[in-house]
Amino acid sequence: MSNILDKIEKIYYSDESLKESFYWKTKLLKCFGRHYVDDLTDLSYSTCLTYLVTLSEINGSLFSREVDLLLESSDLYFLEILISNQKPLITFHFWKYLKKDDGIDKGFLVSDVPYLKEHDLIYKKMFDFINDNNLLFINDNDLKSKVFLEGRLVSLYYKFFNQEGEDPLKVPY
Amino acid sequence: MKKSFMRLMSLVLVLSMILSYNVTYAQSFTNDFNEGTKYYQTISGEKITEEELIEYIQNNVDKIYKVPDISVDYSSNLDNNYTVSAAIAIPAWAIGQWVIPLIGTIIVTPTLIKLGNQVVEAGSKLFDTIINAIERIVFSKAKVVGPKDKLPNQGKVTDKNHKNSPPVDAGKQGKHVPGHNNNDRRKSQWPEGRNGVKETQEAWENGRFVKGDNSVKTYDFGRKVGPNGETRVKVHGDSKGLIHGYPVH
Repeated sequence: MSNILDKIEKIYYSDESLKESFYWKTKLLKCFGRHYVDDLTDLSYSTCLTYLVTLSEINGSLFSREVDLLLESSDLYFLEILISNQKPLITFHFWKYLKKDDGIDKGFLVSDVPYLKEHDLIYKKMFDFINDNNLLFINDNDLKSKVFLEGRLVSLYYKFFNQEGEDPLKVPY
Repeated sequence: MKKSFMRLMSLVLVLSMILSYNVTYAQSFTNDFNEGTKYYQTISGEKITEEELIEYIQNNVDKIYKVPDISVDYSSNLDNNYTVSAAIAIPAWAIGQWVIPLIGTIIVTPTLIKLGNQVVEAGSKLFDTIINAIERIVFSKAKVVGPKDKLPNQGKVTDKNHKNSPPVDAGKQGKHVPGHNNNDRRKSQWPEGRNGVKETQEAWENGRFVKGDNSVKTYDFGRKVGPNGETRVKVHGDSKGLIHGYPVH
């Protein structure tokens, strides 16, 4: 565990432009080609840039009319990518957004590996993307490790990715 | 002769109905009654009478809160062994999961209230007490505000057309409202002169979950709602059943 913390300690962004959401969106668009890449970055409570790649055969965001209609009859798949704007750290998860039940939104399931075999290539592409851009991948176990932030104990996820939860030790993965 | 036979058959039918009703009634509540008193189990394992539970609810309405998860499949929570004697329509604003600290979570569906493994008898004093308490929570304590009204420093607020949505926490919403006591200019802002309560509740009703624990939703209005051209609103739900939201790109 301390190994990953040591690694994090030693790395930093060499250029402020690497903390911009537009920079990474351009890179992700190049990487994922035909897939829709949505920029969900919200720095009001987060310390990361957030992207959602639509993996199902739709050229639209999670909030599009097409997705709304398709969720009436089937599950849909997405890839969530979080890139910290504090340090060059990245984590990603696959979402299985569940089919609506009588028009009621059922939310989604999260996994660190693909739900479908056809998404294995995306999984490999993500690691190529990480290596090509000198980012450090943080897995689910590491996200849960405890670090200090302004004198209090928080999760690594909370410190470097997302501070919107009420519980600084709770990790949604 | 034929008339007497018909009378006899009618009597048998009525008697069998009464007998059947009593057996069903007894089977449903055998475990609940002890010398005519109905008991409920508290989260600490103690047993309290229905009267004590009613008194607790009446005196602790301010401690009851709604779980901010609207994706619960209420139909699957019905107890198949229970026969609902009479259908009753429960108001939409009461439907959901509520927490009564003394006894834990209760589930209110469009037709019944379920408390642990028991269904609260429709029209009973406990049933009415729970509905009245929820009504007080939903309406009495949430101040109705218009889109351009000044937001209170704290407390619950609601838009007049979105009373079925979870109320908005004025203190947390205020961080995003220019001129509010809690305003934090580092965070995304609502346009000058607007409190965003209406848009926040609308976004919660229509939005998509964006966090695995179903505590955050985002909705795209398809038109500008923020001062910098933002078309989306992100809404956070908290453990007290309150929400707050702000514009995002």
